[in-house]
Amino acid sequence: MFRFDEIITPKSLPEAAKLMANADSVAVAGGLFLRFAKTKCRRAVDLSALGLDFVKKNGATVEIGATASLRKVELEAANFFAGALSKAASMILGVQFRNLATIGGAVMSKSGYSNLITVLVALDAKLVFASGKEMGITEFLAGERGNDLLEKIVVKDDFDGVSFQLLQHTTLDIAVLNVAVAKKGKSIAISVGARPQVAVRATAAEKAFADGKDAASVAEIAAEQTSYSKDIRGSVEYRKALAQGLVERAITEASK
Amino acid sequence: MKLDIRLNGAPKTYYIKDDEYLLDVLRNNGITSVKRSCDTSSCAMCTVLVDGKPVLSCSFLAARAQGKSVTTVDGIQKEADAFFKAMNQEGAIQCGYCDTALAVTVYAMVQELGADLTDDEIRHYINGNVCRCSGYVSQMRAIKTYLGGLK
Amino acid sequence: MSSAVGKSVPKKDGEGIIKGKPVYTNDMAKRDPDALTVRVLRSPHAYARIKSVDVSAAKAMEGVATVMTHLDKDIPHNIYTRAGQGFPEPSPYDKFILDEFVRYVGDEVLAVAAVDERTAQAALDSVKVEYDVLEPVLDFEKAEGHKSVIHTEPEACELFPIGFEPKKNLAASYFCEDGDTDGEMKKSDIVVEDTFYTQAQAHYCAETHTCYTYMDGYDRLNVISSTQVPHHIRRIISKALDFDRSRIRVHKPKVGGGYGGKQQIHGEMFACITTLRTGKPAICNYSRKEVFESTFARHQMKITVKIGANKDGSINALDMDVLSNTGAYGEHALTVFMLAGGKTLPLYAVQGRSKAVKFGGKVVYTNMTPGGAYRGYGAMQGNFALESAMDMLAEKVGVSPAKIREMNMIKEGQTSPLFKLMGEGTEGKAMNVESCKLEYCMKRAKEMAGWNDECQVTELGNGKVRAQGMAIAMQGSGIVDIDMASAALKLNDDGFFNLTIGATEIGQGSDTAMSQIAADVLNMDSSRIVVYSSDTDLTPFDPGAYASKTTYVTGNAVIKTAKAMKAKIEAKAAAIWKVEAKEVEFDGKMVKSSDGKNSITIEDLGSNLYYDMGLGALKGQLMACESFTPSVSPPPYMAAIVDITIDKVTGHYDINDYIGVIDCGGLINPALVKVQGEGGLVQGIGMACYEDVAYSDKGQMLTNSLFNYKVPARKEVPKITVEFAESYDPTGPYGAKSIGEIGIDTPMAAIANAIYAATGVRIKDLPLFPEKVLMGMKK
Repeated sequence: MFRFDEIITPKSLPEAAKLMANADSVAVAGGLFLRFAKTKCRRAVDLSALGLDFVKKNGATVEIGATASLRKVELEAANFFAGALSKAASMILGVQFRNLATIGGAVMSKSGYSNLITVLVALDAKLVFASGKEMGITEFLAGERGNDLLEKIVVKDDFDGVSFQLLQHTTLDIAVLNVAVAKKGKSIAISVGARPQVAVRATAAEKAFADGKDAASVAEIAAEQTSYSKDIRGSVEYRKALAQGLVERAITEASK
Repeated sequence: MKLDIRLNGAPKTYYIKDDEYLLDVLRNNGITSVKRSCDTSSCAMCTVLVDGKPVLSCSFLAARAQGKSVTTVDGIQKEADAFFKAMNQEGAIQCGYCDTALAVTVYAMVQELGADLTDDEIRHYINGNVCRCSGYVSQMRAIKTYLGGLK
Repeated sequence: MSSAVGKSVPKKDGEGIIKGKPVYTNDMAKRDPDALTVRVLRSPHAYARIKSVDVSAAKAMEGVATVMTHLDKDIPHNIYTRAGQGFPEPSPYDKFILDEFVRYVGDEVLAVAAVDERTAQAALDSVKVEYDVLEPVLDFEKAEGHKSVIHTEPEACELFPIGFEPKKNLAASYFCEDGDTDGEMKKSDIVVEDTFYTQAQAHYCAETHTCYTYMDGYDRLNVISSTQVPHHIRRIISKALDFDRSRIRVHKPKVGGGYGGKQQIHGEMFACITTLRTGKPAICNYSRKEVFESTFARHQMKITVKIGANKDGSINALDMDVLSNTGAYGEHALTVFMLAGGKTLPLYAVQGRSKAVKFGGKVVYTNMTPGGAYRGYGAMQGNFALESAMDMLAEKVGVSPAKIREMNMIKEGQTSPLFKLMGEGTEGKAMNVESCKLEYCMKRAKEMAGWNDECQVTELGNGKVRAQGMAIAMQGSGIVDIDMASAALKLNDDGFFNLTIGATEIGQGSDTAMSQIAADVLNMDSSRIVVYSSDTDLTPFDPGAYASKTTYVTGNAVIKTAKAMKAKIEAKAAAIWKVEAKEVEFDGKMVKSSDGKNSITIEDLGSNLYYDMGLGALKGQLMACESFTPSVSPPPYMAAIVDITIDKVTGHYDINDYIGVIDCGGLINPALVKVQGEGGLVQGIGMACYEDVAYSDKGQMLTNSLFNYKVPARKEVPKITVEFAESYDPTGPYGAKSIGEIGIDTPMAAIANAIYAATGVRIKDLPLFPEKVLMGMKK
């Protein structure tokens, strides 16, 4: 159970960052993951009033505020990235959950099963933090989380095609495996997530695609080069088979 | 802390702990139409509307409702009466534990998307509303009867 | 002309429920500011002896009212069973309220009661327990004769022979045979034999198990409980706590789902002890994790089926051997296991046609969450094995899955030797099948599905293939000779009636259906019947809502009661008018004498009986109470066809439609009956496809939340099509048989059969995860 003594709702990002600099503060975005954490702290810093609840197009780039809800992403990002990010968001639990959960919460928690992270990795999204620091999402996922607050996610929307694929046991379950592919000219980005670890790029497969290999061969390479583990949702072998099948399907869809 | 909300249209003040969730504040203050079921944000039986949007009250820090309007099934008794009757006529209210939340969600769906909806659109909006008794199809029949009456 | 039965009367309590009235146990308890909150400390170990407990900090904590441990002298150390069954129970007595041994992760160590949830939790957190950790038994196939013995307590016992051998970790065992099964197998041209595994499904009742206790003004213990079995709960509490039964009242308000999950006693003991110790009200409201880990689940089973048949497919012999896992305690151990055969094999073990049948097996203890009652109650486990094997037989014989069933299934007027052999943990009773419309159900299901006997598969291209699979099923309607249900009717002034029944409305609509039956006998509208049910002080006895009994058993009691009431009304009017009772007729509105000289409305008669000074000693209360004990348990039947589309890239499949045609006899309330059928199907689909139970190697349940344990959402089941056969069972109320359980039985086999048709992959262990489909295809 998430327990704290006081909750403060700052009205600006610098104000929030200042509060977070105090020891024993925990930032609350949607608050859905935190609820299950055995976290006890002095102060909860509520991020809901920072004005970061936006999805907007800025020239060639799309900017998504850290506290944009999954529902907002589902509805307002439908025309960006061939609808792949919207689709990934729409497949997360029910509308009541998606109205609360935020894209920033999804990214910052680095959950392995996250549909959104898998798409953002394929899109090579850039994260912009309160400190002014900017970081590619792959670099962020590989590093320490730190205490910096996420401001927004910035993605260039110049893809020929983007596809998100997943396998889930029920429509209210997390993915057994998810895959995103983003195609730009002859280059392609392939991301495999819910392995059950967080999404990674399949770089060898991406190179094979650039070298002109067909979708089936690229998918085979992607499945081979990616690592998996077993959990209650699936075995290593099954995840590998899924990766191959879903990457091929995603390449085909993104190439249409 | 002092929490001021509009509950079903009427101003209410509650004195709460900062880390309480909206579901507990409501139930502890007699609003027991809102139900607790799964404990893991996975069933939607605790759905309430905050400023008109359906949310999981089990996961919504009560402090965040400060100054906002909160709607439970108690606040849509007249508006949703035709839905209640359609559900009962269909035999879709079985154990009934999930039905107050379903009523609130269907009401929100109509507010957000209107009444002219395909089956897939309806299912997508209310997919989070888990039910273990009805087999879901009886609820769908009732929802379609209800929406038909609104058109 | 029927006045009430056969109409889709809206449920009497439906609108109150959906409008959010405070009708569930916790809603009521929330209105009691004095109620203490009871929380239970649960074992982190699968098997351990408690070496010591230190509760001093908890006891000293402000707001803590009481702490309950196994060392407390005032908590009786009576061995009992938590199973809510008739007495003597066919379940072993193997449970103490609190014990020095904990036998699964989640078993009760101790309990506290405090002023609120946070204080109670803080008290639990302050407790120090030292355990002597023992080696657990976590594989049910290795449980028998395991060096770890789970029940060593000398008090553990069986009330009558059920094959209880705790030293071998056996909770129960049973064997029966008709004819020479092994001999007939040898003589058979074709023998199919295989082994199937079914998992420990969780009920997922929307409302977690809750009870609320208080002492009333008469110093009696009131237990408001979310239960399916109020009368059994009263008996069990009284015996386990050595507390005078006459001082206990158990009352069931609305229940947020049961499905068998509330046919046991759960947190009631701790709430009762708290109230008896402190004099204060107490509430014990389980968390969802507690429900998953520490209540009951469907019994996990390993089932070996053997079918011997002639070249033409006609069955000679059937053999079913079952190993059932009852977990740490033996609630319903014997009876669930027996019904795996008892409510499946009679489909094909037909007297005078098949020559031999045998059924047997064992139920073992393990250090896992206990098995308990769950809708389908063994029959659904057995159905998966038997109906999968029937498709395997069809393939060997070279006929379609429909044909093999049509030629072998039981028909109206026939019987099975198993009806006589197998009863509720004892011998059964011979019974002819008076109503069985399986042939129609099959024919209609095939029509609706567009079933093709030649081929059940269509290649769709793009890696997709569509296929159909089928299964048939049976259940029972109550428990012969053991069940007894009763009803009472009271005539009020203004001519309306109170119907009081012990039968337990848990959402299925029994209050409404019973009022329709009473109204119909009295030839009036069911709105004139006010129902009140399930209160041990105020309603007559009923075992409760289980074993598919309410419509059939209680329904018959209501008919008898309403007829008795009609006779009393006529007799009373006759006495007032000084004519023979047979000269008076009550037609639902008027009471009239046949000579046409006297008539009175029921409203006026009702009022006059209580107010009319002129009636003198003829004034008086009219009440009727009758009971019914079933001497047969007519099975409802069902034929089901599922239509699926499999994605051969992922193994995932969509259920396009699930068609079920059901013979449950006459329909008291068609809308409610239909939803019972549809809802049962979706729970069965959950068991078949999505609901897995996983444990760590230390015995910790990994699927102890709805986040990890997946019940079907509505997108999983966009289409469910249920129809009913016209049928009438001569022993049923208005021809009715049961509907509560039959719906859940077929999906496991029907979907497995469809997957086999589509891919050639025969999955023999549930659930039918896409992984098993895909990896099977890659083999």
